Amino acid sequence: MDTHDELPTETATSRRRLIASLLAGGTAAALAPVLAGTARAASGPDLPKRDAADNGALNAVIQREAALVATYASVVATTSGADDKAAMKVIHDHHLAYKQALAGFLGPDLGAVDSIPLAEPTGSVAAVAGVLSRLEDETVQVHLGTLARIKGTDAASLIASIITVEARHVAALALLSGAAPLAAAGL
Amino acid sequence: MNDETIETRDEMTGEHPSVSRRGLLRHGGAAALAGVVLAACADSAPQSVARLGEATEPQTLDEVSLTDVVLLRTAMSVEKLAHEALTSSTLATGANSTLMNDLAKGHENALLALRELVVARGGKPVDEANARLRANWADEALGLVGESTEPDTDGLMLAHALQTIVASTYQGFVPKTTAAELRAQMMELAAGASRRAAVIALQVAPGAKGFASTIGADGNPTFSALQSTFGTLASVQVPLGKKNEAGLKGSVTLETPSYNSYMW
Repeated sequence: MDTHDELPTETATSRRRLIASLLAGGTAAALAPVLAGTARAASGPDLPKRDAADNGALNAVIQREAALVATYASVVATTSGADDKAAMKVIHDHHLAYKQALAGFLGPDLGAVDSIPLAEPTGSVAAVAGVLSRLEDETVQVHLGTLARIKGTDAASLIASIITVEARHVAALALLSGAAPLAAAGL
Repeated sequence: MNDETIETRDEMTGEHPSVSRRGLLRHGGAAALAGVVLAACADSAPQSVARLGEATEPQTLDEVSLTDVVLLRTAMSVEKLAHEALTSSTLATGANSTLMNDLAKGHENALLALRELVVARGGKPVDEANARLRANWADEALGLVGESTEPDTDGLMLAHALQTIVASTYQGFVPKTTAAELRAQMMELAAGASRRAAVIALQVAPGAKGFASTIGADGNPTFSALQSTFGTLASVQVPLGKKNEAGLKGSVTLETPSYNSYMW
């Protein structure tokens, strides 16, 4: 019996299978340690990014920021020293940005906002800065209270980023009013 | 020949071997090739004989979940790191000694508050500074201040950057924190760090001039207490150390903790 004629056909098929098997097996073997060494992403809590129930609290915060914008506008108008005026203008612009950012966040859910100043302090820069520092501190507390109530993480992140800088306003204005560093730092 | 397993005749003996030379070469070569491939992919100390088509069982890592306790513990490690730096012989020295020690009390208060929050949630408080952040930037930054020709100014710059990082850490934790009330409690601590940052900044650039950055004589933005409109989560680059021939200092980039520096 001569089987040579049949052999090449079977051999070709076997070779193809063999190469395919080697490639598959080699790939699997090579990837296994790589996959095993890949750290899994830590699973975090599934938190809502937005929550319509937050809108009321956010509208109240906008009102506070709008009142501060009006307050600083009044202060900038009555401050004479160039550096002092520039400092007050910077803080004014910050509050304007907060108001706009919050309004942009709420979009069509934005309520009516009026622009009545919280105070219209006059006198020396130190006296004005003292009043403003207290207003800023109160505003930080308002934001902290809001943060403790709202559910959405996007709004919470926005409020948090405002608190971080408004706390700086508190201390900077306190120092300008003549407070000691430790007191300005809230210690 | 009816036996299908015997396909070739041995030319020397005229018998029909169960394994032919050609088959032996073919299968032997294939086995050797497979062995080479698998050996290249194997660990240095294989635990079992590798077989074609049998991949190593993937090593399962411990499942970790980001909880409020992990965030609080991480915050403790960052507060501790800042406290250690402020009270170190490098920063709490010279003209800054009193200020640094006073401001360090803020971190002590924060650590006490965080300890309560961790324990209330059944967690274990952290008493050590964050080792990874220390290795990544804190040790280097303190070293540069130590060799600086302007140690007081550099000390203030580093202390300011540290307070900024502490505040940014809390701010970054807000969207990861489950309990809304805890977000507020952490941001209260952030507000403390921010206030300290402003106080330090105004030691470097006193008065109303130090509120906002302007362009200085060298064409670079001046240092100020109110550097951004919103709180930043970005890293903080701070120039420190000896000046080179061009009058420039080296710089260290301080970063908030990430997953690989969390206290799981």
